[in-house]
Amino acid sequence: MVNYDLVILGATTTGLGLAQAVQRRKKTLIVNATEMVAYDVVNSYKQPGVYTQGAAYNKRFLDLQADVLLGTRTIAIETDHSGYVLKLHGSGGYQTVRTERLVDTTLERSGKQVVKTLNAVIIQPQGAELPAVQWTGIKLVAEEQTHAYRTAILKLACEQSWTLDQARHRLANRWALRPEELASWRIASIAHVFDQWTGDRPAQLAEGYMYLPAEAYAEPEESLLAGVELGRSWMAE
Amino acid sequence: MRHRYMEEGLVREVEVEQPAFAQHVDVLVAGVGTAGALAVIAASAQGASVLGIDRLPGIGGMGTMGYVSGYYYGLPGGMHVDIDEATAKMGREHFLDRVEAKKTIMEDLITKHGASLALNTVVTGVFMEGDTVKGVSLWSEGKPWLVGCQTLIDATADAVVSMMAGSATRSGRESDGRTMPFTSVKVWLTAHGSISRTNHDSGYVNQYDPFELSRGIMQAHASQQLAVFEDVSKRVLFFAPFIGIREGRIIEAEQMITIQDVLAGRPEAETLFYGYADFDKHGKDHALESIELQDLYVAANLSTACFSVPVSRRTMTPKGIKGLLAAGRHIGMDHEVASLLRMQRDMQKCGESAGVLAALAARSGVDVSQVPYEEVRDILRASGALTDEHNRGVMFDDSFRRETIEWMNDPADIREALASEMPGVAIYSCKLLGRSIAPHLIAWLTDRDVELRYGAAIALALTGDPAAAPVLREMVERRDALYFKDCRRTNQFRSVIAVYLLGRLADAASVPLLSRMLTDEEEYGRPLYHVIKEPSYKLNTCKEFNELYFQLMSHAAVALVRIAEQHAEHEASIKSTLGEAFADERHIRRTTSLPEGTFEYDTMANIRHFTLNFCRG
Repeated sequence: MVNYDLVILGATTTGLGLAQAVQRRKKTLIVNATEMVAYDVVNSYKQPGVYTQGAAYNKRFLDLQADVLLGTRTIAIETDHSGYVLKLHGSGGYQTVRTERLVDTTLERSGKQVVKTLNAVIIQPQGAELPAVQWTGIKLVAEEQTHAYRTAILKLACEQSWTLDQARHRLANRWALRPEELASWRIASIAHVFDQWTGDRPAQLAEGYMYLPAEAYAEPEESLLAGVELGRSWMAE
Repeated sequence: MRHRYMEEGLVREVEVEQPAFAQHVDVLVAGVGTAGALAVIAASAQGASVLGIDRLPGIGGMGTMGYVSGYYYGLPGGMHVDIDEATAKMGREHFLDRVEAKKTIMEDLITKHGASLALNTVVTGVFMEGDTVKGVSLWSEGKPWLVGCQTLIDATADAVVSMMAGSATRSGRESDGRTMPFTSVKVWLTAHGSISRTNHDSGYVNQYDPFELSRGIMQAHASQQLAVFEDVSKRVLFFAPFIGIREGRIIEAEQMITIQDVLAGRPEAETLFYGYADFDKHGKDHALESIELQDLYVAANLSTACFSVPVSRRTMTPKGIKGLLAAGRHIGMDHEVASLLRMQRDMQKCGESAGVLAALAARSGVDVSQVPYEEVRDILRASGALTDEHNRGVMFDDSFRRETIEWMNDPADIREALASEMPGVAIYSCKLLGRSIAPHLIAWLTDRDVELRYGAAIALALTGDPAAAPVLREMVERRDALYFKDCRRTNQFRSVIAVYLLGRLADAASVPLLSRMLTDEEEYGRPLYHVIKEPSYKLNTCKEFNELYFQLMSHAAVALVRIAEQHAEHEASIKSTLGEAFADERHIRRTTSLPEGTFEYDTMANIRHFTLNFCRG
């Protein structure tokens, strides 16, 4: 069993900020269920334009003085005499690690209601203006025009219980019946994760176990900073 | 009953009481990717109760989630043809590309036939009674879940479920254990508002080391920042949410398909479908591949020759295990065939075959091994997954050259072809003819036509005759940079072929020559290494990779290893030479300026590791 000073659940922007703040001083592991890093801002299509920064975020995670396990699920979290034992499952099957401190930057274990949308990048190849349409449960956010084409972010409001594939299937079917004004628009890409928002504030769940969800912040800079500030506060202890 | 699971990369087993299965299905498909999606659809269309599970949040595998939406070989046929037609129509009307449409169309088909999907779900273990699979343990939506099944289809593309069930597996090439390089797909909006993707080789990774795999993924995505891959005219939309591993574990099946089977065109009495492609192995380090593959790919310059490969149920059946089928690029074959038998159309047919087999087994209440072949065959013939037209034999099959390959046996025809720019078929025919053609080849070694002399020497060496060696050495001394033109890509330089064959012949007289190439500091200054500057698909060169230098040096190093293995008296001096040549990164740096972790760097690093391992051995 490998021992860490800190395990961060979620390769989120908050997880990145925290790992950067403590690197070289705390032996850190970041565990992420998917192979996508900074997914909360890059793969959710939360803000216009930010999704183009995937390479830069991957580089920042790659450069961390921390271990990173992508495609790894957290199966169980148990306490022991002075910390936490995590049972993980990834490409090598089960794996157990131990840590003194644990920070969960995801919403996977919160069990609380969140506001969530499934987003898509839509495009009008000839550059026509985004029409103003009233479309129940769907919102359109225009992106800055940088090329001959025009793009926008489409946001489909999702019920709490919908899984990603269910939401994506509904989005595709809704899009096939889209308003006439959008007939010349096409979906360029559907997000690979939900765009979620929680009103939860950071919380100490137990001794050495923090809940610091990245998706409590509107901007990437804010969620990153939340992690940095937590790490700095520890360094100042 | 036994519960078998994996921990820290090793399979473990515990005795358990009868598990409390929350559900029981006729067919459980683990991995709803390229093969698995068709398995779910085909099995449910035959009336079976089916559950498909996948670790990803979407179905379709590399063709959808991996965004490799175009096909490379494999022949159209079976259920995927209708799916592709519906996908193309929906794609045109509503999307910039087809992938979202394909997911939607396939999900509709799955729902229509009453099958279920559980995504974001992983198989954590397999329940076995004796040698029979009884069910699986899953982790889904943050909870454990036990499901019983009559037939488990392992469509994970990695044999992980088969391994947990007790199947032996193998992985990678014999020389160094490496699998094919992986790809990471980047999807862009072009300046004109269309979708494009880059699908370049991203390096080599041990996907069974979770830390190395994670670094490989981040490295591959971060590499988009390198100047060579930058394109400011385009906007990144996303990186495919999982990387493209081309080769992983392969099951030890009831019947393994070998490269010898493929090259010999071995027929199969109970064919379920035919695979069809070239040996699309991607890596440039041909020198580390097997003799069988290099004879075809390097010596005969036939890298784009396509072969039909019949696949039977036994190739999809893990040896000695009941209630289990494999469907995907992990069915029973060797490393060389794994580069050919992996294309999406073929894997879709593989999934369809497995789905039909499993459904028929459920209908009759028997193991998949007991389903009469004729019943499966008739269903697959009706869907078009199995047709006589899919058995094309050996062909060049691209826009550069589309013709059936007939191996030659007339010395006059062979003579004419060996003297041409396209001698590949004649060269390989000589290997097949063996000693019977040798007298002709030996006579042509002294011909005044240098093209014929060189062609004859290559062909003679492939028959194993050392009489070819002096002419081969002459080609290397001249650093003959002529390349043959049999293929649309990956054509081989003649001196590279000669170096390979000198190693194959274990020609001790070439040790000084090959050693000088690797250690003489003036070697890299020769003009031939600096003449080819433009990327060329015909040669498979690229901007940041010195193809000719790499090929000559890599083959020289491996040829010396082969000679040392056959001539103990040279072993010490060869080890000394190789140790000196690869003590530092000089050969890597002369091959590419790209950093460690890139495909280009790793390609020469593979040669260095192999060579230094030999020196240490």
